[in-house]
Amino acid sequence: MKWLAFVAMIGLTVMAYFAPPINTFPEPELARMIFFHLPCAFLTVGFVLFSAVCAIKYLSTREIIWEYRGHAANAVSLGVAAATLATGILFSKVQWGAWWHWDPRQTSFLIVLLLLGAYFAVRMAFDDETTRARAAATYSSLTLLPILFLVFVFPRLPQVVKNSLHPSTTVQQGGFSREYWTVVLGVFVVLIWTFSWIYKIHVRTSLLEKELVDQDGKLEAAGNRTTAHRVDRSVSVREQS
Amino acid sequence: MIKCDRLGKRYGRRWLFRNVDLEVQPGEVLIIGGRNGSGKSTMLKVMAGVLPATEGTVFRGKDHRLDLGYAALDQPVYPVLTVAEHLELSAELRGCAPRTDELLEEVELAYAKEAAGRHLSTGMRARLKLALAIQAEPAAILLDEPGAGLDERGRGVLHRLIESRRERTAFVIATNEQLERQYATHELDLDS
Amino acid sequence: MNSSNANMLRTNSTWTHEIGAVVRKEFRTELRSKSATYTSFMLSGVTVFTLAFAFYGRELTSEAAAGMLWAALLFAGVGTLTRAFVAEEEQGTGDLLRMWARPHAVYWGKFLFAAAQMALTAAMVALLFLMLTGVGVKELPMLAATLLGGSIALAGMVTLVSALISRGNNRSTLAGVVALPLLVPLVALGVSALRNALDGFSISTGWMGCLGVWLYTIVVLAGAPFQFAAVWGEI
Repeated sequence: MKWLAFVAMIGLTVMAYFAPPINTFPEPELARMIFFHLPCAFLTVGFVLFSAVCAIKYLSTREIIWEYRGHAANAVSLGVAAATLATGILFSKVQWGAWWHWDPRQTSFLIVLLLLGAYFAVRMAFDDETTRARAAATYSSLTLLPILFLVFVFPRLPQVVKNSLHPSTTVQQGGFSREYWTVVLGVFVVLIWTFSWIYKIHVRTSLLEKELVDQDGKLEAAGNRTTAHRVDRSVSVREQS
Repeated sequence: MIKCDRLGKRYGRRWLFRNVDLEVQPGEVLIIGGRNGSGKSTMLKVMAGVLPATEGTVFRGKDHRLDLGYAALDQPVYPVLTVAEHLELSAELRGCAPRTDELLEEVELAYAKEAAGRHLSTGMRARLKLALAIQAEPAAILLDEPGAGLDERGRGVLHRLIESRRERTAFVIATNEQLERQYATHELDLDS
Repeated sequence: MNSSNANMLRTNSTWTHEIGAVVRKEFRTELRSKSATYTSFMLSGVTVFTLAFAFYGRELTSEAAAGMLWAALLFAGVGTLTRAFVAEEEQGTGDLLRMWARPHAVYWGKFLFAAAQMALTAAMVALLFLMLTGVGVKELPMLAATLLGGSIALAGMVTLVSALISRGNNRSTLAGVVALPLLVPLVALGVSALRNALDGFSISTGWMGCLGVWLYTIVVLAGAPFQFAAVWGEI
């Protein structure tokens, strides 16, 4: 399956060069950045919203697996968000002439990145894993409202939209040819597959780490080497004679 | 009554305790012993609900505010609130009678009723915390090193307090002091 | 005393009683340790003065003035209100509240005190700012409504953030890192409202911004007690 995604990505990259350029852009050839940029932006939002759902699930069930899922989703979305922003900045430079334009979508995405960055700052601030899980999940659930606002409301406000250089109208009003859409959607599918795979590895790593800690005591008890300082032991109450 | 079900606490990779199943009924006194750093205080904190457990659950009665009392050696009090104000605040929040004078008589702290928390000595703070722990006459009382910091009279107060309530209250005491161990009906050694 | 006597000790506790007790405790603590209140007001004053001084001798547009006023409110708010739970954990008394009170009562009590403190701070910051910069106000009710809504929202959000970070490391730095991005929607809406309150350019846009500020407030307060209970209560 993995090689299939690899082949698909190669195919889509080749297709990207054959898609007819969109001449409304100042640099039509270099606008192909969109093929990667747009799917990454969608993915970021998808993973961020999923992590908020995981956070709410963790807070309501207290099952640690939801913490691991939320953490993994945020880690993936941080990477994808950074890729979105980086390609956005390159696009901004070649099309609009400056690295940073304070374009509303560019700005709101930067704030999404800051919100994601703060999630990891929260996680790092706690030594106790249960307290960390609760704080991180609570923070993640708190980011839901600002992210919805920044992604879906703010760039559409009338006083904001008029200052936007973002080619939203090109995308939404049929500016993309069929070939363009094919490549964008194809890359989107491949990226979903790839990042879901990374996400699963992340969750599995967390589970294995937990398993390792759980096994530590048993290993020590059996006289084997262990990474734990102390023995995992059961305590029982004994009656005074 | 207080009940722990497969209780465990881990810091990093270090399990302080794990798989702790216990139930302490009124009339029983559980003494938790163990050397420094063995996790006595942490276990009491987890049982009291001020620290989260890594695993397992604790049953603290229907309403922990009224059914559980907790006093720990390392628990500070509000520096600017007076002794009486501590008891009034606690009563208002818990929904019980403050019994300020009665409790202060019992722990022999009536003379410091209007003293601010920051002006209390370790022993006086320990007495205030005992008064707060017994305020609602809870079904279970957790005491962490209750004798430490108390003078001879203070220890007398502590022992009268345990003696007069042991029939109707479940006690869990973390200590290595022989004096408190005499009440033990059950014992749990975290070193073993 | 037997168990039925123990039951007699129990009074009917109500939410208003419990919240009132937390608020009274906060006022009492604050009034007695004057240094905290004094430092908060000093922080607000110094922030406003520094911002106004940076624009000394230059014409200040209403857009820039609205942004600066919000920056001052944010600094004063985040700097002051994060103390709510950080102070509690630093002096080790958080556990007393955990033992005695229900989480929702703690949140609402702390929030009400913070909201009162923030409304006072906002009024002071705004007065000082307008005085120092000489910027006029066209729509006073809009300004007042925005500042009040903004103060309540700031109090609601920062109180929650304070609880979230209170047991963490690097608390003072973390407070800013966590609170500021969460407050971006509030600032975006608030700046739009304040700008129009100052220059009266578009009254309807201004009131829309003000409404947005109040909606943000409502959404924050609807979720905050539950989110607070998740980080606060180990019980």
